[in-house]
Amino acid sequence: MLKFFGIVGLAGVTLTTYLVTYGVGPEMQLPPEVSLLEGFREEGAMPESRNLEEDHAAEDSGVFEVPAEDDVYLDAALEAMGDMDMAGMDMSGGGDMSGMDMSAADADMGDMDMSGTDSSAMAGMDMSGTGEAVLDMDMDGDGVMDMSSAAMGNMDMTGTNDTAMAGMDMSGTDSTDMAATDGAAMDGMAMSPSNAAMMGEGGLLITDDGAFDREIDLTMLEWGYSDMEIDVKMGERIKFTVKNGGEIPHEFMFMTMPLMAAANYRATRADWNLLEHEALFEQALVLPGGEFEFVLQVQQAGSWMFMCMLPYHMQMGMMGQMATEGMSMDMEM
Amino acid sequence: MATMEMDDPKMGLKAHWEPKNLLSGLTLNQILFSNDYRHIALKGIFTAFIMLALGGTFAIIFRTELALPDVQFLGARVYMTLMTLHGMVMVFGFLIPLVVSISYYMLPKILGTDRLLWAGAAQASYWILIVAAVLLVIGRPDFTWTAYAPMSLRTGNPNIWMGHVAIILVAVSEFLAGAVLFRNALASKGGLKNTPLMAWAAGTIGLLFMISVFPLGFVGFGLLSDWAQWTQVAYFDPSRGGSVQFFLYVFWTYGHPAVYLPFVPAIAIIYTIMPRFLGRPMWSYWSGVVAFVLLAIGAMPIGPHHFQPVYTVSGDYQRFVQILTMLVFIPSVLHVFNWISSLFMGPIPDSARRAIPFKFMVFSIAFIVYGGATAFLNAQIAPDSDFIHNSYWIPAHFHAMFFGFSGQMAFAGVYFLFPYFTGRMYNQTMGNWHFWLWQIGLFIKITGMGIAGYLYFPRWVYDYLDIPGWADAQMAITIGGYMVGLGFLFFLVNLFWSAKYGKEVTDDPWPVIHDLKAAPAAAPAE
Amino acid sequence: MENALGIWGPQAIMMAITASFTVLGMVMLLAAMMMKRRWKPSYAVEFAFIGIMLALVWYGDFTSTKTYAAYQADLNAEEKTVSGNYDGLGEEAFDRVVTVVAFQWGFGFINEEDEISRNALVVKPGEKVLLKVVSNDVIHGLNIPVAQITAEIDPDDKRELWIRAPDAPGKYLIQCVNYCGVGHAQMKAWLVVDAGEEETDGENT
Repeated sequence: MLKFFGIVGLAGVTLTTYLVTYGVGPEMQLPPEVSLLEGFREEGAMPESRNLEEDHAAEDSGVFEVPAEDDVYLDAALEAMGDMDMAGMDMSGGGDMSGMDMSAADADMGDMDMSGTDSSAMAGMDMSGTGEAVLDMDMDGDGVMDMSSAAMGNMDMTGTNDTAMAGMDMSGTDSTDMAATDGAAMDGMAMSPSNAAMMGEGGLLITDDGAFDREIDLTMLEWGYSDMEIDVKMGERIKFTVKNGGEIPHEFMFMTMPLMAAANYRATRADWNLLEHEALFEQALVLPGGEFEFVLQVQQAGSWMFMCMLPYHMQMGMMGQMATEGMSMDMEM
Repeated sequence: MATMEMDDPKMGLKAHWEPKNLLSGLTLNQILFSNDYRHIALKGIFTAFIMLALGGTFAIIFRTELALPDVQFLGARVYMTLMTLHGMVMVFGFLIPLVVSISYYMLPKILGTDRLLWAGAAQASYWILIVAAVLLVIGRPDFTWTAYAPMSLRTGNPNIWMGHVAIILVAVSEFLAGAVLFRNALASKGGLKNTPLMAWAAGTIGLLFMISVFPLGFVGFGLLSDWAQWTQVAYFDPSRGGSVQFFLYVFWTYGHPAVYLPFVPAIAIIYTIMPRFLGRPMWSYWSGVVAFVLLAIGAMPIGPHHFQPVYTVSGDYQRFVQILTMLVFIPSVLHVFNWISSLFMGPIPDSARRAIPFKFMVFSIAFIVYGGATAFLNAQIAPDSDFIHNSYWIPAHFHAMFFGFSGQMAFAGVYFLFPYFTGRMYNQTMGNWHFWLWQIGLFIKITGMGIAGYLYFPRWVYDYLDIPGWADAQMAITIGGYMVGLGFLFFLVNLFWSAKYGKEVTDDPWPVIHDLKAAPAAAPAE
Repeated sequence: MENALGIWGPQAIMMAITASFTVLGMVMLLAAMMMKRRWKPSYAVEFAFIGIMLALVWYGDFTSTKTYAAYQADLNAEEKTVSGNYDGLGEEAFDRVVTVVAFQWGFGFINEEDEISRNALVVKPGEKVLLKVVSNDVIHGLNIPVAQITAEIDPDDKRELWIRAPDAPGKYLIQCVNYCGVGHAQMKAWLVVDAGEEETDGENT
């Protein structure tokens, strides 16, 4: 009897352990039939509107930091990209992405010289995190606020005359994109779209409204987008209306591949929700049924990912690609 | 007070216990389907060991992941599958079947009937559980052993319905097991006043099994129905008109009595072997009877303490649950008092001190005190709403009770029975290794969990933040867990080796010898 | 630091009582195994022990109920789950009211101006904050260690809780404690205690 159970036991434990480890599929989740928030709205427990404004106190508080380790992965991703000109970013080293280290070691956070010309040019830019939005950006040091797309498109943040560094979100929809390794200094860089931030970041210029050539309606669902591959042309202006057609809140952001690589290593870590992931554009927390719009101008050839970075949403399918002709890349997670 | 003598029918040592090799010479058909109560019991016991090995392997795997923060090798879904199956296999596959099987073995002997009534039902109960186990392996649910709705309807595992069906099958299997225990308890001759305590335990817990599994079966059915959308209005899914509170109440109406299903038979084992080792009756018979009856009654209404921090029925009901939960300590206190008094009231023979089953028994009592006394806090709304609910404090509590007490007591029972079904004595050295590794390992891991819980470490996470104390606690739990695993390996080696090469035993393997130095020749085999 | 439930005081006593009885049990077991002198207790001793246990049950209920009733005093009348006749001030008793949306997988905090924040609840030091919690989908948990409070958020209904924000500015953990799907381990948020909008003139916060 013992021998029988010994053999059955050994075989059973081995087989089952194998099935329960290697034989398990990827992470998945089915959404509810309908979001319960609707019922709560009827009860009066939730605000009526499905489109809630973002809470600035939260975004300005600087509480979401970017860990220093992200830079390591960012550098590695950039190197891997070689000379490929991605989204107008000079990835070959002329534009120093790793120079985006905003830590006190490299840049004086108190009055950061972003133009490489004259610190006074930055007079209006509050990098100190006191929470004031930056409205008058004089980027080329001529004393005049440079908000024209031409100036913005060529914004040189490195002082080396190379084109814009991706990763620095000047569009202001996400307050903490400039969060430096010491976490504090960039908080005040919030520039709300309504103040017409017109710098094209990473080759995309995103504004609240404006003239546009075509419209795209994008619906966020569980788990993906109504359009997973968007083809765009250089210079095109597109009005995006993004709607949450699912039953779970989502967010929406544009990122480049290196930016994704910078944070991917920690995408399943427990601290994911507690840290910031830099993006070119971000709209946080759209409730089911909510929608938002923006106008996007494609200023360079390249490809950009759009995704939702709530835990596992991206891994389950919420990531698409927008690319100019011939620039689309294999998306890897 | 009335005193008991060793030949008092209440002592329940009636039937002849003779050491014999019951394991060899069996055909496959006999191994699988024999209705002899000892074969049924042994089949159940060995299957339970396989389940322990399985659940333990899962634990070793996720414990290795959790020892350090940051994700090393287990993804979220694999982790939850391991964790869900760990819970289900350990509770439904290891612990309950093991204590029930030991009861199937011991009851007929104690009652002097030498046969198990309704053995067919016991067979059916076993095989239905095997089918449930197979379904769980194929379906691999990842929704925790408590399968909370609506999450357990939507984890994205297409075979999730197998988990729901397995729940229904477990309910059926447990019903049958309870019926067998109840029926056999009734076979006690001589009326209530002369019924051995193990029969009182089997009778009360058999009844509790039978009543409490209906909610479990309904839960399995309701989950299946909601998943398959058989009804327009769901039972439990709030996004289709169902009620989550309905789920919680129904599930825990099974869930709370469920914890007594391994607890009470383990208590019964103590009442059976303690007098044997001490050579004298228990301190009190009636105290034991009252405690068994009170526990069976008190077990039913306190399910809601498992979800106390949910908005529930308003008013006094919440407080009622708090009070009743605390009152259910009383039966356990009666038992512990009885055991300690029985130990205290006379000398403890050297033979007892040396015996591995006795050692496991004494430390089981220590663990029931550890897990039970600290649970006084769990019952109260205020601390429960602070650090206790769904933190690691809860696994600390149930590992102390399920493993520290019930599991260890079951092993005490197995060591006790060993000479009777093998005709040989187990190896003392390996037994001691097993014993010490478990006491130390269990203590470290339970205390580690308790500390983690006090520090608000959440349940069901495969990775955790860098909070002071969290990583240390997890490392401690992992080390404790490895020790427990190693201890079990010693047991398995002992089991296989001693069954074949252990010293043969022909007489009473458990003679009561007060002074071993004076009569070493009479000592049980090494 | 005062916490929402204010249970530290009675809880400390309870912890001490619990620990004492744990130790007492172990000591008695040890004595039974080790002591030379043997002793057979009478039933009277057992009854006395049961009497002490009953007294503890009464005491545990008394302090826990008192604490929890005090905690619930100002909450919405429907929320009161522990018996007691008390009329609280309701929402007026609180400095801030926030609606919390628990979803798969994160928390949304909606302030009084109907603005939503993802995973950050910003409060001022020492404030009494009323949280009205709803779930978008499944059962979630809500635990704020610094405020010493844990609750289960049942999708059937909204839930009211309140916390007292710590006095020291900084960020504190909020976490989900009920398994709610693959993202459960990552379902965390910050409780941000912000000293306020004082002008710091270019200094980093």
